[in-house]
Amino acid sequence: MSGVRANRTAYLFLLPFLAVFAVTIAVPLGYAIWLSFFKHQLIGGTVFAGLDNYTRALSDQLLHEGVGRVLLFLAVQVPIMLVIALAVALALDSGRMGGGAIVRIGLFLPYAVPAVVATLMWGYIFGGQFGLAAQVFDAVGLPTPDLLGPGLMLASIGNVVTWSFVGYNMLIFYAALRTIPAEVYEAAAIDGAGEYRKAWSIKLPALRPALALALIFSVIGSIQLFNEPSVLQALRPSVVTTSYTPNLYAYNLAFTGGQTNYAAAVAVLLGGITVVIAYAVQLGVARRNRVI
Amino acid sequence: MRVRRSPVLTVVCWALLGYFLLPLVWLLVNATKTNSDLFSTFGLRFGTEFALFDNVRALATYQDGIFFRWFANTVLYAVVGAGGAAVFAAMGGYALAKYRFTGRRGVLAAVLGAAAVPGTALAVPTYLLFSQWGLVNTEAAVILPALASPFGLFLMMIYAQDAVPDSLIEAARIDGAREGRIFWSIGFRLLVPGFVTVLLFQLVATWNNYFLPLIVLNESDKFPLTVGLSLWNKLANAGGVNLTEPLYPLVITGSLLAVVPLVVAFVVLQRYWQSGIAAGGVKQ
Amino acid sequence: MITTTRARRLTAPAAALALLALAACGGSSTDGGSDGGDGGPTGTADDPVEITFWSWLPDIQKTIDLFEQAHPEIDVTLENVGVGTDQYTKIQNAADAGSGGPDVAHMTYDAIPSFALTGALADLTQYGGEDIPDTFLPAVVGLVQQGDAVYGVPQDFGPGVMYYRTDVFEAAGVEVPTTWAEYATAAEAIKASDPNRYITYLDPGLADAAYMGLWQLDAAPWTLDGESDLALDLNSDRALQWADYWDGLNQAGLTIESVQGSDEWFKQLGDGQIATWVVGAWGLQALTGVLPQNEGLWRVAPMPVWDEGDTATSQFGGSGTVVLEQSEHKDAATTFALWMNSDPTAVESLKNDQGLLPTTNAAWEDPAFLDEEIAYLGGQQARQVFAESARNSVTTWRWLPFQPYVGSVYKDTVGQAISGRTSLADGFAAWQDRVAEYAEQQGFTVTTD
Repeated sequence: MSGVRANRTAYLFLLPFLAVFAVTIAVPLGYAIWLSFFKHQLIGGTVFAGLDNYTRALSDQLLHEGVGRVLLFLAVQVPIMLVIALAVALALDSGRMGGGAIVRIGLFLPYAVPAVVATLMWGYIFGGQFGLAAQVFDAVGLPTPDLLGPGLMLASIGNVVTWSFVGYNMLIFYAALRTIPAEVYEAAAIDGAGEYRKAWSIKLPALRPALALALIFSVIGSIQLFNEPSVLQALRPSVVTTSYTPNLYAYNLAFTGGQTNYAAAVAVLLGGITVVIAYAVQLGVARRNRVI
Repeated sequence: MRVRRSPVLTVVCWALLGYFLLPLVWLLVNATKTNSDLFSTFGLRFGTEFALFDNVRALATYQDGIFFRWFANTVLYAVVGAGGAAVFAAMGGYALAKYRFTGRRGVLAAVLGAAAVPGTALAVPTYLLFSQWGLVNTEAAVILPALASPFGLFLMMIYAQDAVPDSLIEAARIDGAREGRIFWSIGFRLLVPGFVTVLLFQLVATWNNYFLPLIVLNESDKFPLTVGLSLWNKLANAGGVNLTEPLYPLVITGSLLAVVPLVVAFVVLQRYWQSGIAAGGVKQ
Repeated sequence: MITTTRARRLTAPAAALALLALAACGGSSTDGGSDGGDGGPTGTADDPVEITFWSWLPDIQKTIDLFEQAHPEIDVTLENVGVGTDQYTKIQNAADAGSGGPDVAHMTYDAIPSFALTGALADLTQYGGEDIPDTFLPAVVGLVQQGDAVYGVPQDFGPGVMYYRTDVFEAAGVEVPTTWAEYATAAEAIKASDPNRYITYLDPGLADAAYMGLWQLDAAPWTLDGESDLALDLNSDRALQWADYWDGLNQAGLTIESVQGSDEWFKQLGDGQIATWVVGAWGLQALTGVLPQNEGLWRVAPMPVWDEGDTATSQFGGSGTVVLEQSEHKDAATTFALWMNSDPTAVESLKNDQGLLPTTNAAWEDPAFLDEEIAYLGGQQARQVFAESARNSVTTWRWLPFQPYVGSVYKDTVGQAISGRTSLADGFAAWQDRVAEYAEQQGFTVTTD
């Protein structure tokens, strides 16, 4: 195909996506960036502020603590979640386990539970005296750790996120495995390769792009951590503070503090950090299968 | 089945499943309880009465059955939003995977960069723009944003890279097929497992979308389930509010009913993950 | 929703005829004060003015129906768009966008000053609301008034009282406290009778409890002079009196940390683990609604006072009805807001259909209302207690124009001290610092101490 025609065809295919992307994401983002250069005060109204919001963010202790917290979360939770998802996807794909269809849907279901219920549910499971966790620890004769205390809160959030997203990532890998052409397996079977051998030398390499993608979006998801901490905040307000994660902080700035402009600057800065980390991670882990 | 089952693998996966399903069991059990049982009986055991059908009946009649109105709204938003998003992502992802064109990396970088900015802080700018465009309090304000799935676009791109062999496209071109026809009759069919995955993800995401509809909708008749149920939950917690009907059982039973269509969608869609169906269709 | 609208349309002509007859006799006195046109057109029964009302009260349509019978020239559409903050966010967005808001809205007292300051609310004295200060209880008028302007019609309020479990006090063999000193003694007796029982709970996220305490002490933790001079005094002797008192109970383990309104908290109330709930009178609604099995176990008493012979009380919660400045029907909107909260028919409806405590002076002179025996409280004439608290409520309390922010950082500061059982006074100092920093960013001139 000649260059010009290829360009035109490609953009025609991309047009519907780019149109809705522009209207619902790109233009609002552009507007937010514009807003981030202003400052609005209850007394004094709106004035141009230049880079003030950004310099303020760079020296904002509350923001720094939040960023540190989500980076720790990212380093620990994401590998655990992706390894479990990968293992289950390979197990399902191998066809060597009973009731695969049920496992597949069962693991995915937690992702489908609405947040309203999640609050009630986790409140019940983690709740101090009446909680399920407390009763389980009681039954085995151990003292109940304070799962929502300052020490374990981040781990509990990690548990909730893992619970919600293992099935989600598992499906990404599973669907990717399903696109491996049957001829490849047939060739391997003739060579007499066993299931583990097949998993290691055919399936894993084929999964690399999917893995890189899941990794990038897990990085984004971790840095934007919001739903799970805000659900648990309702149960333990003093542990999940208003600036517990950067996204929670941005939300509180915009909606409780009326500081839309500063919140926009924080969000843009956060987006910048995320892109840098996502890029670094994929350079480190998936060099040969870069997504971009 | 020609492969031997592995008992170890089965046991491990089912144990994991048990842990993952625990909270759903909680939901199922508690949807059968009366309000007073909710607050006085053990969470994972059935209450003194089996009140599931009473709860469903209460749900159907409370505020003239507005729950089912929310249900229908949610179906509309999710089906139109997810269906459109998956098709747009498939077309775009295919183009990104199979064409080398000017600005390809620019498109990828822009989409990823925009996805990296948290949406919570963009809500106010989005509202102000939507207000100028006359979109506030319309169905379009919920559906339009659901049509754009950056993640879906990337997912379709990597699926298309492997699932649609370049040789097949070249062969079709030599046969004189137009690009659009190649995509719809060859590319799309090979992309079905990926397409179904994106469709399912976006269906669930739109079904459970809370934040945006909360901001842009000003009439309860237009609410999706998430916003409506959360409203009831907040009313139940509000304390000083006079409630003629205890709302906790309605919130829990309503949430259970809200999950059912997603289970159905999953069961219906999962047969498209069977390899062979997609691949078999184009084998020469 | 659709069916109720239709039913209303069908009954409207009959009501209209009745009203025309009335109007012919004496004329309507509530048509609104200004007739210069800026308050919007006056409708007729055939061509009514249409206004939108946002409220999260589940049964408020009943009261609206009564209004439409009395005022066929005004057609009210009710929307429930969210509880509290969710609704305020929408109003804020609509104010920023210049359109999209309702004409009339339900709003808690603490949120009114922030919307008033930014010009989102109409001054009701311009549209027929000049009698509000004389019609409503002094305890609530100050919460909607700023200078000569009035930014809302009071609807309900939460005079501070103490709900307590009779069985827990009997088991502990201790008298029901009337002063905070007795309350501390009772706390020890209750804990001694059963280590799993506590006099009350401390909620690290609930600034309202601190507000209620500071309000009773007339601590005036913040004073706004003019529009932009803010004096902060969260470290005053009175503020520290409250902080140190609860510090003592907290560090001695006589209170339990719990989140008001949570599942767990209701269980603790239901099991008698929490013996008292010091709260606005509306707490009765929550107890009756969520813990019906506790009927007969609870009673209400006046909120404890600091010194024997003191009478000062305070409030917790309550809300008014506001009119938005962007409304094109401010006359009609004000007529509705006033009628709903002060007309005798409406007041009856607020009491009986909404279960609210009305705020007009007249309502609290009605013996039938005051003397009613409340079955849930074992037949107690609870409204006598509410009325006494309402009479004795300190009237100088004011909310800041950024009160939601002040409340939100309570958990980051005082809440930390509550959870960590460290000094509440330090928590208050941190609270003041966060508030001062914010106020300065918002352009206020802040002075502390």
